[in-house]
Amino acid sequence: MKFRVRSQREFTAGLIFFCIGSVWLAGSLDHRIGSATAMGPGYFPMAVSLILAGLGIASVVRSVTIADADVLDPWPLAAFVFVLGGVVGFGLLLESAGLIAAAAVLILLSCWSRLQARPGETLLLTVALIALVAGIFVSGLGMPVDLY
Amino acid sequence: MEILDHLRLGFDVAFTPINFFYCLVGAFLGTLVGVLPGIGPVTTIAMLLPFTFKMPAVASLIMLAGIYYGAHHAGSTTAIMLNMPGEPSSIVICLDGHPMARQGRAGVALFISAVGSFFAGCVGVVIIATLAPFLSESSLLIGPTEYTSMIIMALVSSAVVVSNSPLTTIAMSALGVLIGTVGTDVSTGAWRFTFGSHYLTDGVSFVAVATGLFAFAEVLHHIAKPEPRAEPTAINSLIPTREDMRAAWRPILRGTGLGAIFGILPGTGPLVCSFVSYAVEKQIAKDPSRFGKGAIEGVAAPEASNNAAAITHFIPMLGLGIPAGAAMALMLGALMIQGITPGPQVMSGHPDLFWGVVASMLIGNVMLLILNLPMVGLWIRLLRVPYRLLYPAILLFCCIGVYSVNSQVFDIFLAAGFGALGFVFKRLDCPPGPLVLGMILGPTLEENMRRALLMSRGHAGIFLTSPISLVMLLLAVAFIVIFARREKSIETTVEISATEQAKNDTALS
Repeated sequence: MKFRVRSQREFTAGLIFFCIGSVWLAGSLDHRIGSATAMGPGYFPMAVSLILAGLGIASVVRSVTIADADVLDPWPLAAFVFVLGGVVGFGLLLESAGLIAAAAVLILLSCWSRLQARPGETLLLTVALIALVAGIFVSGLGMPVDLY
Repeated sequence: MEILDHLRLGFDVAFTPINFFYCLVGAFLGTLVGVLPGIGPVTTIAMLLPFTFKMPAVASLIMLAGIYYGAHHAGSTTAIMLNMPGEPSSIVICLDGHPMARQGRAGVALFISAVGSFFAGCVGVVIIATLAPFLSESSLLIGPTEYTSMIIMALVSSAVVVSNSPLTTIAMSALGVLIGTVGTDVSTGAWRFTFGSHYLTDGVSFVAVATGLFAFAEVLHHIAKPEPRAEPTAINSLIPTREDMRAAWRPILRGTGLGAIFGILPGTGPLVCSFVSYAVEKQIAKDPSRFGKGAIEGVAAPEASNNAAAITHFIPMLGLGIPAGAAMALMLGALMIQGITPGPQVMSGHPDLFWGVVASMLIGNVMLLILNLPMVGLWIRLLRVPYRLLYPAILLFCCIGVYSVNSQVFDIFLAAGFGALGFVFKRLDCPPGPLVLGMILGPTLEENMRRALLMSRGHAGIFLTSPISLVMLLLAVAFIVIFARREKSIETTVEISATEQAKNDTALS
C-alpha cells in the first residue's frame, strides 16, 4: 500500500501541531502532574498538549485520506525576511539608538523592494512617518522614548 | 423601573465630556482605519489596542467599543464598494451589496446598512437592559463545572465554523490554550514554559500576540499576494426610494431578531448569524433568484443581524467572559489588562462600566450615522490609498504600540515571532481567531476545571451529570458533527458563490 499526501496544507499543519504538542508535553512532564483531585502545575498543560498532538496526528492521517488535494504555494521568503527583519531591527535599535534610527531601519527595510523602484517616494514616506510618530507619541503623548 | 434606572446611569456615564469624546474618537478612528484598504476590523482593533491602556477603564472600553463598531461599519463599506470583506461576517454583505454598487445604487446600500445597523443597535441595547437583571441571577446557577463546559463549547463552536478543516481549527484553539499556560501558575506559583526567560513569568503578552497574528501576519500576507486594485464605484444618491424602504424594513426586523438571539449564545461568531439571516431571507423571498444580484434584503438583514448580535454579544462577553469571534476576544483581553475580570460580578461590581458602555454604543451608533452618511465621499477616497504607502505605517504604529504597553523590547520580538507563526498558519488555512480565543479563555478554563474536579473528587463524570454542563457539551458535539460533515465551510461557500457571481457579471457586461 502506498501513502501519498494529498493535502499538503493539512499535512504541514498536522506536523506543526504534533511537534508543538510534543514539546509542550515534554515541558509539562518537568512539573508535578498530581491527580485529578489535586492537580499539579503539569496536569492541565499535559492534557491539552496530548489533545494538540493527537489532533496533529489526526490531521496528518486526514491529509492522506482527504478527497480534494491541494499544494502549497511557494513561500515568499523575501517579504518574510525584510518585514520581520525590519521589526526585529526596530526592537534592537529602539533603546540603544533612539526612535528615529529604529523607525528609519524598520521602514527602509520593510520597503526594500520599493526603495529601488521609487527611491524618492520611499524616502519621503520615511521622513513623514517619523515626523508624525515623533510628534504624536513623544511630544504629544509623552512616551518615555529617546528620539535619538 | 429598574431598567430605566440602569439606562439612566449608563447615559449619565456615557455623556460625561471625556467619555463622550472617547466614544467619538473611537468611532472615528475605527471608521478611518477600517476603510483603509487591507486593514479589516480585527487588524484595526489589534493596532489601536495598546493606545487605550493608559486611559481609565470605562473610557478605554467605550473607545474600544467605538473602534469595534466603527471598524465593523467600515468593513461593510469596503464590502459594498470594493467587494472586499473586512471581516468574515462582511462576506455576506458583499453578496448583494457589491452588485447594488455596480448598479449605481451604492449609496442606497450604504444607507440601508447604516440605518439597519442603527435600528438593530437600539433594539440590542433594549434587550441587554431587559435581560441583564435576570442574567446576573441566573449566573448563580453556573458553577465551575458548567463554566468549564461552556468554555469548551465556546472554543469548539468558534473554531469549527471558520474553516474547511475542523481538525486544524480546533488544534488552533488548543494551541492558544497552551500559549495561555505560559507564565506563573496561579494555583501553585510554579513558572511554566518560560523557557528560562524572566520576561515570560507574567505570561505571553497578549498585545504582542494580537499584533503579530492580526497585523504583522496580515501585512506579510498582503505583500506576498497583492490584491488586484479595485476601483470604487461612484455614489449617486444616498436616499432609498419608497420601494427600497418597503422591501427592507421587514428584513431589518427579522435580521435584528435573529442576531439578538445568536448574540446571546456564547461562542457563536458573527459570521454564523449574518449567514443564517441571509439564508432565511433567501428562503422566504418570493423570487430567490434576485439574491446575489443586488437584492436589498440581502444587505439589510445580515447587516441588522450582525449589529444586533454585536451588541447582545456583550452579555456573554461581559457577563460570562466568553467572547464571540476574534474582535471581541481582543476587547476582552484589553479589559483584563485594565484589571477587570469579566464575569457575573461585572454588572453588580462595575455597573457604571457595563451600562456606560451599553449606552455609549447607542450614542456611537448615532455618531456613525452622522459621521458616515454625509462623509461617505471622503471615506471612499480613502479606499484608493495604495497599500505600499500604508503597510510601513501599520508596522511602525504596531511596533510602538507593542512597546508602549510594558516598555519591553522583548514584546516587539515576541510580536515578530507571532507574526511569522501567524503567516505560516494563514498559508496553511489555519485561522488565527481560535488561537486568540483559546489564549484568553485558557487560564479560566484551567482554573474552573481544577475546581470542578476538586469538588467532584476527581470524577470527570460530573461534567455529564450537571444538566447545564451536559447541554453545553452536547452542543459542542453537535457543532463538530454538523460542520465536520459539511464539505465546505460557510466562508468558502459564500466566497465561491461570490466569485461565481463576479464571473457572471463580467460575462454580462
